[in-house]
Amino acid sequence: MPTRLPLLIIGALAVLLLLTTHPLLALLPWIGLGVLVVVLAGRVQRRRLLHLRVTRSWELALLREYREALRRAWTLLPMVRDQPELHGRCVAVIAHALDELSGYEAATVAFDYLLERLPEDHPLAIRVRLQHAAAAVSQGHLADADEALRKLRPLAEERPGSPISAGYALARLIQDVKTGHFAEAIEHSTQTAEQLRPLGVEAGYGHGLLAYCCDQVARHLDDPDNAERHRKAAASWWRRATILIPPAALAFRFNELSGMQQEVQA
Amino acid sequence: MKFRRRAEIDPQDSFTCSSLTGPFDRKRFDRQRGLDRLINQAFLIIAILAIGLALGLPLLGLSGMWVVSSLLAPLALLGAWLVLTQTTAQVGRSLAMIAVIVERDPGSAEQAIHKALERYPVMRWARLLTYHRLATLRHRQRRFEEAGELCFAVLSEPLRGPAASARAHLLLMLAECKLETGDLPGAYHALDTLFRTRLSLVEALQRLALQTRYELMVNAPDAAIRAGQHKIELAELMPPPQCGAMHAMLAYAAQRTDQPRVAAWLWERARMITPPGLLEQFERGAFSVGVVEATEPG
Repeated sequence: MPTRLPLLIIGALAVLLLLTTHPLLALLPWIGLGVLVVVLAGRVQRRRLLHLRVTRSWELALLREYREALRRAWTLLPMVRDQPELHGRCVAVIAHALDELSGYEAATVAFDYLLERLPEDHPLAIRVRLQHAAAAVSQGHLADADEALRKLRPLAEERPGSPISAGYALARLIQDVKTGHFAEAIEHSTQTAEQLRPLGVEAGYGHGLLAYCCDQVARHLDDPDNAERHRKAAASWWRRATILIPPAALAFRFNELSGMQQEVQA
Repeated sequence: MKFRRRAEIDPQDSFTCSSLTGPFDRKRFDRQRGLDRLINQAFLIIAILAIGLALGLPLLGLSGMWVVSSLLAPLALLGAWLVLTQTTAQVGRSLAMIAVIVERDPGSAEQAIHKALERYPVMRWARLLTYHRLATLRHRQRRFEEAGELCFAVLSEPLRGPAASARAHLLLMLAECKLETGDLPGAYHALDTLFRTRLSLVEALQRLALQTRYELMVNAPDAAIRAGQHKIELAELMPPPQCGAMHAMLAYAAQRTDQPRVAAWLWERARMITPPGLLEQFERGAFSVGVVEATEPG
């Protein structure tokens, strides 16, 4: 109903214009125009306020206040239903916050919603597909994740040095860790570390996972010298990881990394 | 390590020399704004005349003229309003498109800006936002002198309605352009205005990066490294290239204030998150913040 209000006002005005014969009734169309202006101005103001509130929830997500960001975006969702752009932003905040809080199943639903609505080559769509693939790996949906990553590979290769290529490298690394392909991950470790740079401090997650891979390989090696070499590599990657991200944050994001600090100190 | 301006290191790329809209012409900008003002004033006069006719004729007892007062006058007003809003809406749609393609396809963005600037009549906010997009494009093309002039020209106009949202980004670009061209008083004024402007989180982070760069340029490394831990936490929230630049600047400031351990730690972080080409520039003391417009979530 509110979206049709200006049209109804214009329609009523047109009828009044046709029916008006008395001089005093000439005022009515002008009053109608005034009401129209007030309604439109009110709508613009309401949209601006909603935009500010959505931006605030996004800022909270940026500040890593994921629970509060999620709560606010969830509250705003019904209010922005008639505004596709703001609605998409709200869903993006919800998806991101859920993903960070390890609510992968719910995050996947939000990612799917976004992917259905974004153009395929939109940069945000590619990032969402990457996050979707990473969430699938974390949930143990390895076949789905493998297929998604295979499709993303050309896009990542087209954009070397971009956050998309970095996100792809991290998703592949998570996949290697979850599937136990530690040796393969170590084989490309230098290249992976280079690719992770555009993630900023979040590259630390990749370094932490590389440390875990080295540690896992060292545990299963019979040759003590080789095992020691891998242990040293693990310590070096872990040091790099913890320069960027505190050990507690690394362990919160990836359960596998919870024992790494003690392992390296030992 | 000698501190140098980035503009001295990276010459303009060949694309920028063959731009469609040419260098910024302040006289053309003033002419366009004058014409826009004239059109807006004409619209206002039509509105006043229409309302005057509509209300005046019945009051003068010319009730037989009801067709003019209640039909023609409002229609004239609506017609003028529709003409103005239609072209403005077209420009508005192209503005949204330009904002998306300015990073990916500067050539198409330039063409779209050129077309939008040739449209008449448009509302003030649409014209100013078109110039804001042009300033963003020039800034991205590293034509800092011109981008600075554009920002200054747009900021000199009253920014109301939708145009008000571009104010902070214009000030950030202006501050960076002034830093790149070595105009330190100009950069100070832009930063000072930024401190008196309400900013979003992303804008406040970029202001911090520009402020740090300014402090290094005026040889005040102690001010740059003050509250270092807090600044590092904020730097972590910045987009990756700016995060790297901020780390490098803080490392440089720590080095200059005789804090070698802090400097070494910051450089180590910077080396892990900065692309090698950019890192090389940072190590030579050429810091570039690269102001960006606040982006959407995700």
